Amino acid sequence: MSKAQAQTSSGKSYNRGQGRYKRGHDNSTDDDGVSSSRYQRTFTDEEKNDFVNYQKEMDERRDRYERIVKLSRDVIIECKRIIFQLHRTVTVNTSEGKEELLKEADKRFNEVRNKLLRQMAKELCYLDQYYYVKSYDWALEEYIEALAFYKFLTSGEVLLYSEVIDALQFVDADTEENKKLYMELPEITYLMGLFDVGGELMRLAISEVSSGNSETAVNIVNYMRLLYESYEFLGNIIHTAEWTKKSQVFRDCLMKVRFSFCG
Amino acid sequence: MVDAVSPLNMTNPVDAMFETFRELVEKDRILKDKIAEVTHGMEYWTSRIVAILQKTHTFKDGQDADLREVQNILQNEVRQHLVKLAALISPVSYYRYHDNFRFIIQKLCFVVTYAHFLQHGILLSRDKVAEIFNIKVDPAMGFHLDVEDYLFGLLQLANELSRFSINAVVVGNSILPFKIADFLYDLDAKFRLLNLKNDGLRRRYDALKYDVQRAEQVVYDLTIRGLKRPADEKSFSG
Repeated sequence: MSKAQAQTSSGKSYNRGQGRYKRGHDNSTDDDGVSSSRYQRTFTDEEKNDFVNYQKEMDERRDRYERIVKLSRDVIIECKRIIFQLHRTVTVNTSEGKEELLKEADKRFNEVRNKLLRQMAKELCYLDQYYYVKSYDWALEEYIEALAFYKFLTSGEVLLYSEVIDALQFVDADTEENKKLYMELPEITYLMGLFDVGGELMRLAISEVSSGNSETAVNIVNYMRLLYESYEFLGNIIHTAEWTKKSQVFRDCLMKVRFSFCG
Repeated sequence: MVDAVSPLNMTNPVDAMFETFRELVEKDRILKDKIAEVTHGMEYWTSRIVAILQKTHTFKDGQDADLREVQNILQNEVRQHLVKLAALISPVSYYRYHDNFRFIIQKLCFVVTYAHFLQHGILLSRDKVAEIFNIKVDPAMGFHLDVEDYLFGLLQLANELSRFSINAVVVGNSILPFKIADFLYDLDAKFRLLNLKNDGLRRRYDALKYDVQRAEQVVYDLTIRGLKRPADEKSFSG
């Protein structure tokens, strides 16, 4: 407390602000945003413009980042709902009912793609997308999980990376030259999303076995074994902790599915 | 029950896809190793510059020769390494590999702004720092000087100057602390113009007030002992 008072009196007694004016410095008043007026320091307009430009550049990036985060949350919410809808195929007895459910899911996928993902691609146009990849890769993981789950239910095959890349290409019809839009998909994001489908397949397998239908569970086991072999083929060349965690979870899901009708 | 491992079948699109992934990860690792090699070389030369600039804390003669040597290293070795780094980065995404070289870029911004302060006593803008390195400031031009890396460098400069202020008093230079205090006040005011969100730069900026506080403390100690602020700043000499 005494130090602060002494500093204040020191500032008062020597009136440093006036001293600066006598030296013929730039006397423009830059009070905007400067809360240290107690010291009456000034800096040149050029220097202030430099920092105002930095502020604008950083604000522009942050605002875009936040807009993409909002779109990502919407993508995640909708993809989770699609997955819940796909799980309802267990309770549908007729093949017509299943087809109806899958058709509805396909329509919702198209809505996610054409409304949300296209908007994200517009935001990222002409930019280095890896700066923003952390704002949307978690949404793409969920999207890939939902797509892979849907493809398993329709054809029993693994969703390929090239298929997701194709889904992330857009044509901007609003412009005359039909500008191409796209989203960068890091390989690791695709692999993480494909890991996640193991949990959904485990849930589906257990539900089907509970309904007395073990044929689907056998298909799920074969699908997951194929995936697990492929992931083991990649080995430890990806070192992130999240990868290790998901790999363990995937293995646990595979063991649960096998025990669900063999145990 | 032992699961039979099916042999790899390259006609299987899933196996082919994972084979491609493995190749991509290997290429990525090779590129990161090359980037690490170049940044390691830059770290060596930057450490040399920092060691030279540390001599200023002893206030012995020869600062002009030291600054010329710093300029030589910056103009030759550092620029060469930056050209190599730009050649590695330009074909791919700058921000995908930014984490591999951001710290050395920040340190380079610090040493350049510190050397400039020792010579001219004013703050070097980002455009001029980029000119010294012969790189761009526009992200659309590929390899560039990121604004946040420059600001991190300035915060390192503030920390160094608060040390410099204390060491100046030890050798009897009672003019420099006033100049450093003014500089740090101005820097703090400029940083308040930014709208920093809660990330690494904000946490680093939160430490700036302690550097300003140390500089204020030195000025206070000088003032209560009768060492007044010099009327003419042109008498400043390192």
